[in-house]
Amino acid sequence: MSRRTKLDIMNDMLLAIQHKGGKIKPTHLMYKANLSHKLLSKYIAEFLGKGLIAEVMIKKQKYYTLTDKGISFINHYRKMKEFKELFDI
Amino acid sequence: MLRFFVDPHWFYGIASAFEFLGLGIAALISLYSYRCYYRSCESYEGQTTKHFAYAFFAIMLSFFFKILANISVLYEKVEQKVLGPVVFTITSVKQVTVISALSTALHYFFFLAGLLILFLIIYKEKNVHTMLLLFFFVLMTTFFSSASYFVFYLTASVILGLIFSRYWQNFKTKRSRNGLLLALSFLFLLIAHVMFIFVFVNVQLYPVAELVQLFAFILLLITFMSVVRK
Repeated sequence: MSRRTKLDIMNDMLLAIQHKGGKIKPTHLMYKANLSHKLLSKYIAEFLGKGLIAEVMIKKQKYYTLTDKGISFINHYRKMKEFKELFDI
Repeated sequence: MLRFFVDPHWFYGIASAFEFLGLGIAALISLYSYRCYYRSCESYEGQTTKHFAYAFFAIMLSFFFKILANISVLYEKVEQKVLGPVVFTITSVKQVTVISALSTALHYFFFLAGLLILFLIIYKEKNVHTMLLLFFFVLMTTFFSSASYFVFYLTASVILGLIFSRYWQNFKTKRSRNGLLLALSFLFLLIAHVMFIFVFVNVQLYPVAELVQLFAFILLLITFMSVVRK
């Protein structure tokens, strides 16, 4: 299996949130996206900065939710992947 | 360099409109591909996407030069002559040889270069020496061939045949609708280029070949749009 690119990792993380109904706990996200704690923190900071996800507190528990921008990223990524596969790039 | 004027007179303007459509479609694919590269430029995968964008950019440039060749090849000069009470309006056709010859050569070069890049990408060829050798042959074909028209269409047909074969294999493996449309678009491009070779037999084959080429590009556009507009 080939090494995941940064875009692949970003997509995996956002998809993990989407598959969990739009909100996920940090630990679940780490396992679902198969990332180390250090990498997860790095990506979370980037995602929050770009507005792809938002941080919410529910019953004193931290959750990450998918924003419209995050959903748009997933759609763009899917189209891009399909385009590359179709043209055999 | 020899240039053959094979297209029938009545078809000049229509042909340019067809080329303009091909130019637009190639530009669209190139632009989208470059955007994909821009978003994933850190990986090797991103580099091939950039090269794919260059391939369609070259095809776009080739259509631009074909339009330029069509325009510059002939310009109509309207003259009026008065003979007694009768005024004659004469439309004469003049040839701008240097611009048309150069535009035609650049059209050949960019089209073959675009196809070659596409071929190298889909056949995953990474050997730089092989790439340089193939580009050398494209240069030879374009600028130093005494029968550049036939050599160009023959070379383009061979490369298109190989590209079609790859996309057909991909369709047989994945069995997707878009895969079929893509393979068919390259098949029609191949048919059009084979027809262009035989234009010397019957000049009326030229508009038919242009129509087939247009159909191929429309199929390519449909395939592309069905992926990016989901």
